[in-house]
Amino acid sequence: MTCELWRDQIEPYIDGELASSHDAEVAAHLRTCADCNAFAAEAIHLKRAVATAGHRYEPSVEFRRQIMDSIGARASSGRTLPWRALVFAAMLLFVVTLGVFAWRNRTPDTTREIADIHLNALASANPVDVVSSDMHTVKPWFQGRVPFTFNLPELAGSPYSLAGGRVAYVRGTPCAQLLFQYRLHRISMLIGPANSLGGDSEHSLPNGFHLVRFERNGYAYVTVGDAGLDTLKELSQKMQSAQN
Amino acid sequence: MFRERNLEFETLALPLLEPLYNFAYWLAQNRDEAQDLVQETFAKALRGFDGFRRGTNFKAWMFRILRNTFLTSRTGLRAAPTLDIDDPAVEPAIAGTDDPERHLLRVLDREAIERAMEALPVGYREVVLLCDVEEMKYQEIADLLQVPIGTVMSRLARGRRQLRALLQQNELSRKK
Repeated sequence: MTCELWRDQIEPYIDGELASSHDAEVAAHLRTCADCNAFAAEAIHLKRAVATAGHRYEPSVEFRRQIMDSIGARASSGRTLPWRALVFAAMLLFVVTLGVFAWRNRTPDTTREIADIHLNALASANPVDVVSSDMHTVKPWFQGRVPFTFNLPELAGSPYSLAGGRVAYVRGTPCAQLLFQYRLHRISMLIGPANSLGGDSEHSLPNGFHLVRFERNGYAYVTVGDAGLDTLKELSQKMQSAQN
Repeated sequence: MFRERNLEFETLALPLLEPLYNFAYWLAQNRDEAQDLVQETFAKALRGFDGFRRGTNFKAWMFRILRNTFLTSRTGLRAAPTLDIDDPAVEPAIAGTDDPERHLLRVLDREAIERAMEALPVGYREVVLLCDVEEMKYQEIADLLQVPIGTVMSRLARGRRQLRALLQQNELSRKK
């Protein structure tokens, strides 16, 4: 198939609209063709930029009220008695407080901290300090920056790619943070001493993020992201195999 | 009974106010018209809510009502010739489209994207918005626009190609 024909498949691939058999074919072609790879990178870039810029117009408060009035919505313009609103607010506060307590109790602090580190990376304009998809560049970069070493899995032939890495601090301990790309998702993997990176082998946060953790030789490997739990487990499994 | 139905409608429809308004504004490119479109959409949807099949895609249903309302509006009627642009021969030629893929879009600031999206014919703009902003599946978009899925795919491909060309053109004119 010529690149011209592949191009027709790349955007549906990025939109997640290809059948899984085709999906693998496109992924394989992208790894071997620099031109199509550049095209795909640009298409992802454009899709993200459009998604951001597309959320441009917001209805005014007044217009929202107008719509609520027009459909006879309950909370519209002061028809509700104030004491009812107060009781409702008090109940809401109570429920929220309970919820926060339950959530805090359910999610260990370290787990939250790891999820925050990942979110920080997503929000940052420069999420990684070493930008490379080459494991032979990324791994040596950590030498002297973190007091341990680890192996990176061979990702060719898989839907994952390495985007880079940086040093992150969890509870004051330096850890390696690797950033992977899976379709439009970014996934972080934190590697550090097991006692600093505590947590369950699987954990889902209320905001849609999941964490998958394993330990090897006193070090913990925690994978975190908003891709599905199975996706994270697969990447975690690849990492685990690479440590053998 | 009547109250319950209204309550159900309110619960389903109010969270869609923002996306519907945003989509309406992108279609009409005018605040008053966007407000009229959304107002009319909510009124029509409430009236026709009994006809809505529970368990089917409510968001797509609301967007379809909005789009159909737009088609019969003044701006919509004016835009009609560009809404069903499925013949590649009528794709307008834009300077600098010789090989847009070779030029990576380095400068993708928000304003440039907004300008390019505004310049995109409505028929392309709407599919790009539904796919990239509303994150609808191709099949959902096809149902909404009442066209085959292949048409959605070709409109998306051509729309994005034009968007790239427009961005590139803006970039070139900025450099001059």
